[in-house]
Amino acid sequence: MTILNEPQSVAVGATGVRRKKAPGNAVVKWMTTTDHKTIGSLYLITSFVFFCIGGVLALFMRAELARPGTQVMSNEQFNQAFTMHGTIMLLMFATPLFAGFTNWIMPLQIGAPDVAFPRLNMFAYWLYLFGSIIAVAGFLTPQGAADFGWFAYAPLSDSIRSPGIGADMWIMGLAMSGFGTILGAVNFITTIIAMRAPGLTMFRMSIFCWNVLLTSILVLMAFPVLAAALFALEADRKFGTHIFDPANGGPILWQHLFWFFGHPEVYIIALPFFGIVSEVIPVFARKPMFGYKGLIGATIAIAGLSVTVWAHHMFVTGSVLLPFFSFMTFLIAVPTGVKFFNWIGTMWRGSLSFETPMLWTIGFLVTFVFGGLTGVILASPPLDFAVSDTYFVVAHFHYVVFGTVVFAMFAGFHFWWPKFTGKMLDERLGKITFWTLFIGFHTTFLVQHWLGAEGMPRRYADYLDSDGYTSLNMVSTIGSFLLGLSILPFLYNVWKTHKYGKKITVDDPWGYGRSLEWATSCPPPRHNFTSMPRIRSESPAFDLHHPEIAALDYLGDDRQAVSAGKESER
Amino acid sequence: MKFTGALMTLVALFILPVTIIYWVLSEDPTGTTALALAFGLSIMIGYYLWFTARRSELLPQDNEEGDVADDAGELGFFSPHSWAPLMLACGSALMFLGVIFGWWLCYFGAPIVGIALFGWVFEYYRGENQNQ
Amino acid sequence: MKFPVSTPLWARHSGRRYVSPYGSDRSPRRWMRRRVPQLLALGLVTATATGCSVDSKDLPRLGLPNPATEQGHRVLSLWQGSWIAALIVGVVVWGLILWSIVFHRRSRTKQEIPPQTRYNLPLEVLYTVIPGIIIAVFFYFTARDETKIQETTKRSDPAFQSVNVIEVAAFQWQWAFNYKEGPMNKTGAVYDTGSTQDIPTLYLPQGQKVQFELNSPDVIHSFYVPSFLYKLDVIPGKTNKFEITPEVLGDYDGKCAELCGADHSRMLFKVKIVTPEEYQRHLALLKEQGQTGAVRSQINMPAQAEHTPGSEK
Repeated sequence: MTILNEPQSVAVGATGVRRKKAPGNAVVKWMTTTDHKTIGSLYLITSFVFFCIGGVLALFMRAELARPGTQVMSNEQFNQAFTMHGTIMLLMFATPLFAGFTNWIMPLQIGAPDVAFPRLNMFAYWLYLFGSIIAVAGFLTPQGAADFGWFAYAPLSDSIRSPGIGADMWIMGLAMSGFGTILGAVNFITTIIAMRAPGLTMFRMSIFCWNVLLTSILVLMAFPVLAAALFALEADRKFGTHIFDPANGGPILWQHLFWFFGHPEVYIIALPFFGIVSEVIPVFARKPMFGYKGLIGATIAIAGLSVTVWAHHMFVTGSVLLPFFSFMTFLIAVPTGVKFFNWIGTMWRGSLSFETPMLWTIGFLVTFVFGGLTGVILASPPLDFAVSDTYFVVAHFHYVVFGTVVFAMFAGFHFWWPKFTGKMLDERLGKITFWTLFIGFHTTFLVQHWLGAEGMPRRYADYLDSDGYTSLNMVSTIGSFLLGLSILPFLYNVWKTHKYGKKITVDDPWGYGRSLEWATSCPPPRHNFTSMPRIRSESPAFDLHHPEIAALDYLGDDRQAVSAGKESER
Repeated sequence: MKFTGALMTLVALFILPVTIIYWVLSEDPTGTTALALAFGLSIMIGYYLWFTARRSELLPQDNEEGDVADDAGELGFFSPHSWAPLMLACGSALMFLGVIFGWWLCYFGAPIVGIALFGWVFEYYRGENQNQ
Repeated sequence: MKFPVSTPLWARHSGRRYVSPYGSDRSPRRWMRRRVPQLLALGLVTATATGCSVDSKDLPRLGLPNPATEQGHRVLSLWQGSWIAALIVGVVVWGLILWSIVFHRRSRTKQEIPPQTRYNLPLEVLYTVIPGIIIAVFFYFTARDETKIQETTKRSDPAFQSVNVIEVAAFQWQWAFNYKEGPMNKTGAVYDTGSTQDIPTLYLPQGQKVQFELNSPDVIHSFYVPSFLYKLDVIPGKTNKFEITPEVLGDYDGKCAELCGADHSRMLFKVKIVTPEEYQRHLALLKEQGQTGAVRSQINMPAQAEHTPGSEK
């Protein structure tokens, strides 16, 4: 298999003249890159920066809520804080993080030299960056950033109730960024469909790539609806249209449109990170994924169902078909449970070791199950009527979203750092980060379930002393600061590894990597593979590096059935 | 490719009855429209992929016994580096900002978008990476 | 085939001094390094989960307030039952994870590749079907209770004669309660509202049906009384209705539960469930204070001053 070689920032140009390597060259190289690996790095770095910004906003909010009364910021500023915290975390951190990991890892895992549309890939990144900057730049305007909550319910978000320009910047910035996400999804789907290596059939593709494919399909279905809704809202604000006018049923129209996007969005955020978890566990259990086909079926079911449940965010509006949405939402719990048993089944009777990536993954498992359970509780309208729009929901979604995105992000970082940079992140610092974050996270959010059930609504800048919410809020605030601090060992880890880390010389530093990215160097060359192994299973790199075990596996189906049968007997 | 076509068609065939049931039970035009459009998107992609797969031979990537040598040769042209995406994004940003701050910004944005699009399309018609 | 006998790469760069050559690191003090933080975390989580200001009376309700309405009891039972089921599932899943972590960890001495089990069809079917059954049961109870608590008496129903109708107007950032004219209202249409310093109090008669009509002239709000274990959004351009039967005498807090602007958290009200006689006395008092008529509650109503005497709805 030959790869077309391009002269890419080589010292010798086409005419044989040596080009000077000034520092500016690196900046230009990154600004004009079409390499999915560099673009992936750009996405990962940018989204992590937004994660930190969103996190700081959260710390401001928690500082305000530690005690009753106004201490740190006004009610109006608080509203801006939670609006931008939600927007940043969901649309400028989690979604682009998916694009970042996908960009880096997916072409490697399918054995492709790059994505299908490299320039479009870069264009999508710029749309994300510029759109996000526009939205967040609302903070620099006199009336501040958008302050109507990240769902921007109409008519609160119309030009009368939210007259500031920060709101328009939010709307158009998100529309721009959303187009970036859509173009990225187009790229990913095309690459997966058309550019897999020989023998890498769909059912030998890694779980991460499967999840990327399904996530991208969800993006195609959900983000255009958001873009349309945002443009309609901007038209109402700028051109005096009456699309979301209350006299025309506008408020409910907005909610339907927003949540038709909003619900798939949370699965867009979750699925790729489920994929990362599915990559890490087999490597550190030294077993292939248990129930591969069932896992894929479950993921397809989740993706399909997620398009049909949107109005469970609207149960308390009194305007939606409760039994339909409640039933579909309950149904989604089943494939999610199946996935859990797949993961546990992979760990079961494996040979487990607890390096940092596995530690983060187990943290995810332990956290997400609780978030999933509170989600099933919320799926029941009578219970939702009691706790919707309270801290119970805040606790639920932080458990599922933070539990999935952040825990799996760190797992992915530690797991793939050698592939990205050629160096391993420090294990001890990684473990310190994990434990402080784990304790900080649970301290912050576990008590919020109780707060919400007791009756503390969300998006409240303040509460009364007589409410009795003070002690739990204080606990939550303390936890949040610990959570914030826990990022510092990670940053130190990154710097220390960059400066002092030893370069890796092997393809697979973990020893038992399964998927194709572990069959090329750390980091890979410009077009990923200088040689391609033969692919006959879902673990091609494992088969390449441990042919004796692969031979055992494929000696005959009866041998496999025997070991499977033995498992079920025990 | 046949499989992914079947996958998208399966998704479409799930969304279709959901759309119908939803309309019958709720008579909500918004949700029904969104679901119907999602159905349209899925069936369009699914049908295209299935149709294309029928017309083409089995790709090495879909062949369980596929060998690396089956895909030997040039894989395609991959743009080595390009200013076009950045330029187009700058132009687009100006257009979006024009909606927010004032239409005069679009006078700057539109030409940049135009030049960037032109550059994007015709980038490899000449020069050291010419391939058209 | 050679197995790696030197220090694994990841460990060489981790700053750990001793690393066992096979599999994972196993220093003698490792169990302490592992257990102590875990125990601390467990202790902290337990302490915070129960909260400092909670006594044992609250625990069976798992955080929900004591229901003050008849409908609230259904919600509380469903909540308690659901949590029992959820926690059982949680304990099973956590148990499996912890079991695996403890008992399936890598051997200190042997180089291990376990049997590469890829599937087990009976097990997979089982763990698909059982959750399916669980949610089917949950859905049944949900649908049953939902139908009951959503019941509202229709105007055409003769039982409507014994329903007190109160229109709640929610606007930025205050509440107004329009006690509407009707067979149960001996006084006629009266209203009450408040200010940020003096939040309004909604009076409700114990044991009688109360039907709320929720209206907003501006943005979406939400009428939430934690002790009702219920809330319903107040949407401009739409009238939302729900019905309760207040049961327990007492004073309760009410809050707005949908972001409505800068003073969303200041949009509070109080609810007082009183005897029917005292309720009628309160209505008469409002009339004496000149608060007859109703406060503007909907969009597209002719603009009127906030306290309009004599305008019938």
